[in-house]
Amino acid sequence: MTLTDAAAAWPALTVRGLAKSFGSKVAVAEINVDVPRGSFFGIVGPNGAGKTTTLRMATGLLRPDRGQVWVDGIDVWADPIAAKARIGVLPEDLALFERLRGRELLEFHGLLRNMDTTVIETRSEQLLEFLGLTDAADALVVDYSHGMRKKLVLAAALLHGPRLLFLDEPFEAIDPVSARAIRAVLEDFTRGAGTIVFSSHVMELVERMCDHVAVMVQGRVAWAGPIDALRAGGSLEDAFVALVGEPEERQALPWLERSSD
Amino acid sequence: MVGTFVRLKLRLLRNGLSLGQGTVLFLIGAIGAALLAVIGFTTLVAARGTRHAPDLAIVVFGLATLGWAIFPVLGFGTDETLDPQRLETLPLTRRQLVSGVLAASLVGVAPLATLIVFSGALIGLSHSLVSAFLIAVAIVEALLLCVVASRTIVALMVPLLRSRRGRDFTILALTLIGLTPPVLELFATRHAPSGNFGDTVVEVADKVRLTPFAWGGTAVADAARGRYASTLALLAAIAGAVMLLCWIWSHSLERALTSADPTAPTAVPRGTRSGLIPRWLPFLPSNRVGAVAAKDLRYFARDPRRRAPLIGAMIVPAVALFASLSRSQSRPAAMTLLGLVAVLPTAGLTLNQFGLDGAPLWSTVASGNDPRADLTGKNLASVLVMVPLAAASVFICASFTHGWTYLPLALGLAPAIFGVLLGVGDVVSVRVPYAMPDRRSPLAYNPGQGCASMLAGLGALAVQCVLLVPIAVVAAVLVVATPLPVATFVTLVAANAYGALIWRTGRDIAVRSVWWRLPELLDAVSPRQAG
Repeated sequence: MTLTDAAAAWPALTVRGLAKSFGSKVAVAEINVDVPRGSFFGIVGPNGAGKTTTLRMATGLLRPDRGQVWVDGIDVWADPIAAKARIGVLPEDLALFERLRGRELLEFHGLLRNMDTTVIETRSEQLLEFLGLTDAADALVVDYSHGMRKKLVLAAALLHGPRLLFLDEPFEAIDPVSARAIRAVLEDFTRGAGTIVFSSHVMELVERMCDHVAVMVQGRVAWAGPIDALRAGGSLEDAFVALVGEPEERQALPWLERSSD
Repeated sequence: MVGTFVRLKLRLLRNGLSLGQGTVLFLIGAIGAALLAVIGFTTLVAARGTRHAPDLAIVVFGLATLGWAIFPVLGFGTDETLDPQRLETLPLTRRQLVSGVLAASLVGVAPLATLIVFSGALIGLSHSLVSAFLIAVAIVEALLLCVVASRTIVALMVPLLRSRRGRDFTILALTLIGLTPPVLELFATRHAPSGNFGDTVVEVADKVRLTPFAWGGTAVADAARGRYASTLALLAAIAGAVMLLCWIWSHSLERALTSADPTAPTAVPRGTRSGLIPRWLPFLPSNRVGAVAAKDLRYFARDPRRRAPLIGAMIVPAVALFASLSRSQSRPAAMTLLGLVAVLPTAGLTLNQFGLDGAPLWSTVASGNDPRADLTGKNLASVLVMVPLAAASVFICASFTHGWTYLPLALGLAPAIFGVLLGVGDVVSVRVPYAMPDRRSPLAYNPGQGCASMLAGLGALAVQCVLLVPIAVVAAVLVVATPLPVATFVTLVAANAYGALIWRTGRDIAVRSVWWRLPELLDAVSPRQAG
């Protein structure tokens, strides 16, 4: 997919005034984010900070109360077809049509995007091979482990060659071998000028992989920008804790320090 | 430890009462149990002094025990104190676990209702201090037998329910078991026992009195008849059975707790590699429509949750139809058309088409906005499944009536009928979607379906029926008024044009109303998740 000059002037993802409440609970409170083209953008934050809600709104899966989202300058909520053609999604809950076999599920995703069958087949085989799923490709997805499911959804998200990849907790509950395979695929993807937005709890991972980061706290973006600027020489975790804040007076648990025998 | 379990159970009951949707289900259950308790109790009390009173006790105790053995299987997972997985990490000895769970099991609506029913025997059958004492002991033992038997069966089923194949098998088996009574009834009406209630009770009691289910009732009956020796022997037998079941239970519980989850991918036989679109359906297009249709067809073949309601919708009307055809003396050839009636109940499956997808629907929503293709694909899959079923039904019907000349008409009407059903179904599917129960739990009922969607469903079924009337009228009038070949030709052209029109109109209305509302549709069909 080539970019027109007009689109190239936009960041890969632009979020303005995005807000969502569930009843009286404010999940996301009017956030603004720019994700530079070709960046590896991490969204970090404690549980319930609004990371998943933000990603679901940015991918057209959850309607925001207010605000706008542009992918390559295309308004996701005004022109969903064009916007969705450019993005790939790995959601957190991994709900899949699990009575399909692995290879069938990839074909299903490809055909949903009206891709050519030979292209689907070639890319599927390559992705299955790369992610170590070839042996399980003809098993029903319902029998897959958590890590295998994650890799399969990643393959489905990459199949149509998106410009922008949204990954919600891609490394959660993943064994080290699978994590390595996923990381390799993602690094290839950004080398090809693709942009990745991913959410994670794991600071070391974000520190190692991301060049940009947004810290979300209670539905707000507490900080966003190049990761080096946030770290300022220290570790990401220290910078994160400084932003999020730590309970001040922590009461000691003296009985924990005693040996139990 | 026993006290902790009992308090936990009481707390769960209290929480169950304060949880919105759960409260309604809990109340329905409680009212049902109370009704059964009152009926059982008064039946036993009212029988006092009659000749068949002891036999009635045998039947009532037998039925109650049988119900206890079967019911928990259907409601597995509803009582959190009996799910061994939840207790896995606690440092409990087997003895503590068994006595605790047993005590908790004795607290609740169902045990209370059972106790009320059984105590009817105390009033209805005791005639002396000795008999009253023996009956009271029999009641306590029978109640224990009920509870222990049901827990043992659940514990034995855990390994089965943990594997995917086991769960799939259970769902289908339960569908078939659930359908057995109406089917049997249809065939048995001719051989119904003639005679009054009392004779029937005596007859049944005589047959079941020594089965373990009825031991409690037989002990009560023998105590009422003054056969104390036999009563004592039965009480000893029940005590032995309870202890044996406790032993089996505690051992199977431990095995269930320590054995691994068989979740690893099962080996795939070589040569099963296949594309999404089945080879035998080469006319399915290689695009979004074909993908959705092929996915739904695969689901009809592989997902017991999709197959079970289909079988349920088909089998009872089909059996009813064929049973009445086989019995009736005159079978006009035109009755071949009745074969189509058997497939009408499948209309229920068209009313929540996206709900059948559930949370995985995100993948369709995330990959573009094309509800027209999605609905067309889904409708195509439904037609490809249901038209052959209708054809089979019509063929069987024709073999009864020998009305083979009506076969073309009957077969040709099937697509028209499904056009009407799907046109209405598409609109309802996007206007009143609802989440189906969690797929992980093999025997879940449907808590997501609110009153509103149920009413909408009934309304939709009514609309579907009304819209089918013109087809029926035209077919009937033409068949009566014109030669059959003419009637067949004209009806098929008119009915299929009409069916296609209704389908297209319905689908287009559905597409227009859902095009901008796909996230809301996704939200409506995704089961609520904790947190």
